[in-house]
Amino acid sequence: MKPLPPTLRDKKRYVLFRIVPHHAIFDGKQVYYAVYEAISSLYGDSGAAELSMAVVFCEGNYAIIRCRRGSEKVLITAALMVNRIKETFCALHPVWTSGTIAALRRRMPEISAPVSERRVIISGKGYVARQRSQEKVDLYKDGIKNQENLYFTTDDMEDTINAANECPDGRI
Amino acid sequence: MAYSDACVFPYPSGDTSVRRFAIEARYMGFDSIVCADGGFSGDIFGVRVYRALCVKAKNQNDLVRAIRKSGFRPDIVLAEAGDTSFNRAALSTGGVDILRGIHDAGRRAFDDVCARKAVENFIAVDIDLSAIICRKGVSRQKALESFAEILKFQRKFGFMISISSGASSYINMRSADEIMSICGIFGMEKDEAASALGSVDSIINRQPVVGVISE
Repeated sequence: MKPLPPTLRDKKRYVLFRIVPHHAIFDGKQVYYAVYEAISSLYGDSGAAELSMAVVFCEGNYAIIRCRRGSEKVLITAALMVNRIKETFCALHPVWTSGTIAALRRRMPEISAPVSERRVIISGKGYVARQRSQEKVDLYKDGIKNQENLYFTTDDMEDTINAANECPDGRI
Repeated sequence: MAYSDACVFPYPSGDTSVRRFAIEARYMGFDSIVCADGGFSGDIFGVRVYRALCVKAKNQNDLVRAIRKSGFRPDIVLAEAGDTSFNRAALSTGGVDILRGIHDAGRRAFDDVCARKAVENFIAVDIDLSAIICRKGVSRQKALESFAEILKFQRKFGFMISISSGASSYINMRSADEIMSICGIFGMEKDEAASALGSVDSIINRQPVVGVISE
């Protein structure tokens, strides 16, 4: 089919989404299928077709999704329904909406340096603790990836370590 | 108005600690959170954390017993909804602050009598967004239908509605603005959603029904 001339094409809007948690890294295709499924389950096939949604960029914890102008709210509402992608629990939080990708790229923070890791034992289970920010600590259980994670703070970790010291066998 | 998430389940019920919930709640625009099943109450990272007791009882006697026998003094008592007779009793029972899980209680579980009792006793009816976010298909459709019905009752009788994420992980929490978008699916206006997000504050600061004016 012959492509539409530029004057007849619909105006587009781009929405920047932040993907949580930090360790959830997906490619564009995975994000596209997850969001498309959320749209079609919430608004049906006709609603999904009206949006003409596409994932134009996906890197690290950020994704830029394109939609038809005027349907940004529909896209955002549907994207909020995404709670797992490829068996990994995650969420998409809208950050900003713009008419250009460049404006959204300016809103994306630079990829931070690798975080420090240490091993801890909680309730007899081994975890790898990763410091995500000054306050946040994510704990990943040993073994299969994304099996069981805990989301703590530095204060919680201190409490945990103090409790371990009080415990005779070193376990909490 | 102070926005609040009316029910989250922190560690050990969930995978996120109370402090982490407080940090995330601050980023998401909440002033307070209600933590079910113990924990501690107080201010953490500028977010007010309320300790709540979540009770699931078969009848009124069980409900009263569970509230009395709780090992701690809760700031807020959440009662899981049941059939119509239980809901009427729960809404008449002193000590209950929020009736939650109404979407799972059946089609006729909440009626005009329940609505009147909720107004009289200043009890909020909870809208649990996890029923929309984490479910799909028929289950989600029933939850949306149930929430739309509660909203109709609320518009007619004027009882309080609270909104909770029902999150056991911070991943399932949604920000105040996001919640307003989600509530738009079942027809809730933005100002109604804002008012519902502030209902926990109203419950905490409500005037006692009976008080000594002067001697």
